[in-house]
Amino acid sequence: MTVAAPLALPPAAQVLERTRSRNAAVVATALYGLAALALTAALIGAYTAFRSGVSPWPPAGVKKENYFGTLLLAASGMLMLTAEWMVWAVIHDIRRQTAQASGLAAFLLLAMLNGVLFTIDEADFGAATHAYGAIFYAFMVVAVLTQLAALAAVVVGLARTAGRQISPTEPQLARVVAIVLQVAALTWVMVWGALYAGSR
Amino acid sequence: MTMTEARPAEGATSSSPATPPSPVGQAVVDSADHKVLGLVLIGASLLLFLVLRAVGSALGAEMISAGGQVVGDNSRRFYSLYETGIILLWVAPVWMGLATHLLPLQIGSSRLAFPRVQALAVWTHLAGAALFLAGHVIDPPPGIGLTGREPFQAPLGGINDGTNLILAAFLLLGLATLLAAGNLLTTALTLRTEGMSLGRMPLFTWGVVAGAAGSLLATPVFLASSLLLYLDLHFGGSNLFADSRGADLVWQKGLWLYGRPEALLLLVPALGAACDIVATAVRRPLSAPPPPPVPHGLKAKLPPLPGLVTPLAGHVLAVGALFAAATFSLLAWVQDRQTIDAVILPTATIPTALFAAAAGVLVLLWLTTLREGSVRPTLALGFTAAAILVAAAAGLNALVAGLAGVEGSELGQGMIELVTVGVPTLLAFGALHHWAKKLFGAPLSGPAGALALLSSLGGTLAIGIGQSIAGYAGVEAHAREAHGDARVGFAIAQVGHVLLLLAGILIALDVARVMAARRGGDTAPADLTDGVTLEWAAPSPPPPENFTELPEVRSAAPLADLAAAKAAGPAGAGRSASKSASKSASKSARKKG
Repeated sequence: MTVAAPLALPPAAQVLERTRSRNAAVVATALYGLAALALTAALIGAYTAFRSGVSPWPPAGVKKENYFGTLLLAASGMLMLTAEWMVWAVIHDIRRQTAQASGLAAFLLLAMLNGVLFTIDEADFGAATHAYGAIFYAFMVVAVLTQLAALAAVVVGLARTAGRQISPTEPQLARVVAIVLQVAALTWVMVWGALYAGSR
Repeated sequence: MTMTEARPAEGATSSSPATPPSPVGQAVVDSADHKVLGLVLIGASLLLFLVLRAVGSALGAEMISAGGQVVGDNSRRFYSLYETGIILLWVAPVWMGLATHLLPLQIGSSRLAFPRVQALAVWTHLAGAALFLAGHVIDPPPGIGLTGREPFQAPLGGINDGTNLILAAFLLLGLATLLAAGNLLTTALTLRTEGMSLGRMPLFTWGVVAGAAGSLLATPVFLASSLLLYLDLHFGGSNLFADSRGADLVWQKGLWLYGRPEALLLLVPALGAACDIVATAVRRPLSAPPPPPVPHGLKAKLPPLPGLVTPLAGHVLAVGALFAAATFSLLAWVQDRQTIDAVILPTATIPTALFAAAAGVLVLLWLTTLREGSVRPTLALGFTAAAILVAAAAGLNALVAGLAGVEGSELGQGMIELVTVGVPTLLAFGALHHWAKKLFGAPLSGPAGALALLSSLGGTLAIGIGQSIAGYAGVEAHAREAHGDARVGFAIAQVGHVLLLLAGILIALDVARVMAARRGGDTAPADLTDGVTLEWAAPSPPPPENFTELPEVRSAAPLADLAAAKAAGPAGAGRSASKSASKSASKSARKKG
């Protein structure tokens, strides 16, 4: 029985399959990201519906702290820019900047998580106190979940960068991480728009 | 032979002789093969169909029994289980299962984009179904309300365990739908074989794509409302039960998702499947109807319209109609069902009527295609004709109701039974017959199928017409007693429930028979005359890697091209000969570097 010697390079069909799988990851992340934004938009729809039917709104006793909400909005803006910086660095094969952008994104996400948890801690009402409470906590649950997902994606991205598994020829994973970061940032922008900017 | 000539068998589960085969149950649970996952969903949904039909029969017996003591105090529980379950546990999973099994075959792929994600979606769906059933068994659902689509008073004494379980089931079922929809859409967009452009995708795949895109937008709304309700109820509140405008909107637009929009969205892949059934019956793509006659004088002035009456035009028109149907189903949901200016009462709003128009375009295409081609009659075509008949009966019923000014009664339930349950059920049975060789490895029984066709058509019409008669007699929806004409109507509906249960038993037993016969059997080679789309180029049942060889894709009907080339002789066959998929993959890889 003869045993074929292994080739140094993977077969062309496998290369094609790997590229298609990575493109699929980008498409799937964009689709699931769109669904996450649709979920936040649905909560905004519920918020708007209740606001038009319940008076006063927000209910008496709810103290709104605009400072942290707006601070988190600024962090969201920086996160969006950092995500694109990371992709740019990967495409231009600047690994040092890729690592820096990933690290900054992780730091911003931790800060945002801390801010959201602080906002929850400061709220002196429960999810069942009134309709505002239910929607407020639903917003916070969605924000925390998207930020945790983004943090996980950044950690994976950092590990792949350290392991030299993201390159200019295969930047799809960086794009996947960037989309998850954008969704986390946009989710907070939408939450801020409803809870802080859109509240009368 | 070089290494690249072997098709990569990703997703294949190779077993060496030294490894003992795993038990069937473990193999199914461990599997990420889209065909196994699809069969799991189809099998589970068939079993749930029988359970729900039995529940429907019990409800029907309640309405015609003297004193209404068949289900006793459980009528609320039975209504909730039947009306929500028939969409969530039958129509949705059977079409998700068919799409999971068939979509990669139709686009010439060996797998789904994310096999493990699909496995997660399938098992999450089944877990959600189990919780939904358990929630109804443990406690009646006062917190959810009847069918989970209207605001009800808060439950006295707080939320019960049954309501908690049903809410958790809603979250799991919504999550599973979302995962599956994203995965199917990604697969269709990224894993098509070489030559399979978007325009050449089969119409069932297009139907799945349109339905999945709509689900990706609609299901998050359902999830958001379920999350709100869970937070409110679980922590002891009752804010979403208050009789306020906000609560009404949350219920109607959020939790009613699986009433109108999702049910209409589930019709979209069913319509796509019917397109493929018709195209297969005539062995060519759908034809567009001829353009209307133009006056001779005007004809000379008009430029020629190239390609308007080509098969491609029919295919493109069908894709447009499928996407229009998906869009209108979303619009039907966005409209407030109580404040809309309904054009035809009681259930047809303007977007619903537009949805019907899009479906009507497809029916026109099917009839044109059947008239122009040489038709090979099949049971699947019979089920499609039955679905058209049921849809026509529903349209006629809506017209009569509009003229009579009847609304908001049992009539609406009859319309739901006809359109949102009856049509996709008939088409699902038709699809099971149509793709049986690929799904189960052998065709289903003809006589049993014919009996199932007759009983499911008769059953659907009897339920729809019977409940409509009760509605015309003035019975409100979900009433517990009926007299006079209404009682006659409910008696007819009860016959329908029994007939549909019989049809379900016939189909389920037939599927079980074929599956049992297939175990350990050989794989039959592909018969390229079975159809015109790529799934017919796979052996029956398809091996783990799906295809042993793939024909070149040059149109929406690659197998018809192949047959035409073979009929043209050696020269034509040489030009369009069946080509190894591995060769085309390696060619493409070389092209891309």
